[in-house]
Amino acid sequence: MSTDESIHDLLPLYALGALDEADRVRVETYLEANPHARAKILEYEAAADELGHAAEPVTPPARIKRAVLSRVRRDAGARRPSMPVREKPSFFSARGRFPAAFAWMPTALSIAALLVALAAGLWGLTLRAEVAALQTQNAALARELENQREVLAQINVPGVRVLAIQGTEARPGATGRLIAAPDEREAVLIVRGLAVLDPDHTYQVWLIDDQSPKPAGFLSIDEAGSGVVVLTAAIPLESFQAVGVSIEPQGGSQAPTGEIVLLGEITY
Amino acid sequence: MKEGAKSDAELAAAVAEADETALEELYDRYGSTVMGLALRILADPGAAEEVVQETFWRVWQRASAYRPERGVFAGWLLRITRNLAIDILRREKIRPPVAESDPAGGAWELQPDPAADVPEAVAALHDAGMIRAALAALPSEQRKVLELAYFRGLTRQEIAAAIAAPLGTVHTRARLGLEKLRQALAEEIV
Repeated sequence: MSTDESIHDLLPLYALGALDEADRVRVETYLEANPHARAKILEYEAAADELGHAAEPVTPPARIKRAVLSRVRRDAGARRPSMPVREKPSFFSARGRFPAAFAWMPTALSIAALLVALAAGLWGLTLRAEVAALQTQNAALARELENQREVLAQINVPGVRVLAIQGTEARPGATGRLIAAPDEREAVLIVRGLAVLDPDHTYQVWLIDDQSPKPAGFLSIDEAGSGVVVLTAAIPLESFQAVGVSIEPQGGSQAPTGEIVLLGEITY
Repeated sequence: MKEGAKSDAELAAAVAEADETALEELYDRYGSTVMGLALRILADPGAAEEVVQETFWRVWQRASAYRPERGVFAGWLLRITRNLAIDILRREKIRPPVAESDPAGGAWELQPDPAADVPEAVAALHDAGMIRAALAALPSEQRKVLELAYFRGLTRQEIAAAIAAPLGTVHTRARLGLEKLRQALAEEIV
């Protein structure tokens, strides 16, 4: 499937839900970069959606409606007292359980300490190489600080929830937390207990909806197996059913190909 | 839709705000359409009823994910239904026969619920009749590709094997079928 023309051939079948995983990923990747194709797919989807009306309507038994409404009312009753804004204190009260999540807090102090070291190096005049190395480190720390500011901004969004992510059989000791507001497109994933990978592999994060896993970013971990990443999705997080982390070749994959080490349901 | 009644999009927005009466209204409008589609795909009333329950539960949980600019609510709703039903088909590896030999109607009798909204049910029947007519008007080879994809959940490769045709033929028939269906329904609406 190497040309735009042949991918265009797949658009009607994409709208009909008749593509396998590999084809679907190819089409979705193509759609992300081609507004014209996105407009076309909406036309095909509208026509495909009409097929759902072609089935003869059949009124379900009345007990089905009662069951649906009963479940919904129970849920509504449970949700009302704890709607979004009240969630924030519960997250902060729980943060003691996730000390790794706040490991970046001393970063600003670390930068200051580095600057002092930098000044000392300059005094010595003979330590130019070390100064250069420290400047590189400083720039990296500044980028990390910026990233962590982004993390802090994300977890301060009203309505934010904390969802538990579990290690799979491949990595039962791993744990994670997804910090996200249902209607936001960004979330923070914090993990612990992962193995350090060889240089040819990386951890890739996936957001999974009804259709397929969507690549959501890469996860770097430290020597202790902990890491933090800000995920960005094309649509609100509540549209997804699950989040997962897999081991992929360096550079990442369009769909999971390696072992899945963390998996958790997204529920609100 | 009754005069003064809320639009589907307005009801979906209300559901997103945890308004269960709005969900009930949507159920009254589309419960029979959802059941009909699930039954057409699964040919199993018990499994179809489960799909109905799960469909409306997902609407309740995810109504805020519905984007009116991407299409009508009914399309979004029926896509959830279709995906759930096809998942069951694939999981259980069952392929019930599609009612392709009878495009104008299925094997299931309409069983009115005394509490159902009669005008809404009549409107749903009208829509179904119009779309079935448009589907029946397609050349049979194009209709078959659409049905194998949509109601049986076959991939393009599986469709090619089922109709013993090259992939290119499947692509062409799917495209022509969808385009003709869209055109026919647009003319009907105008």
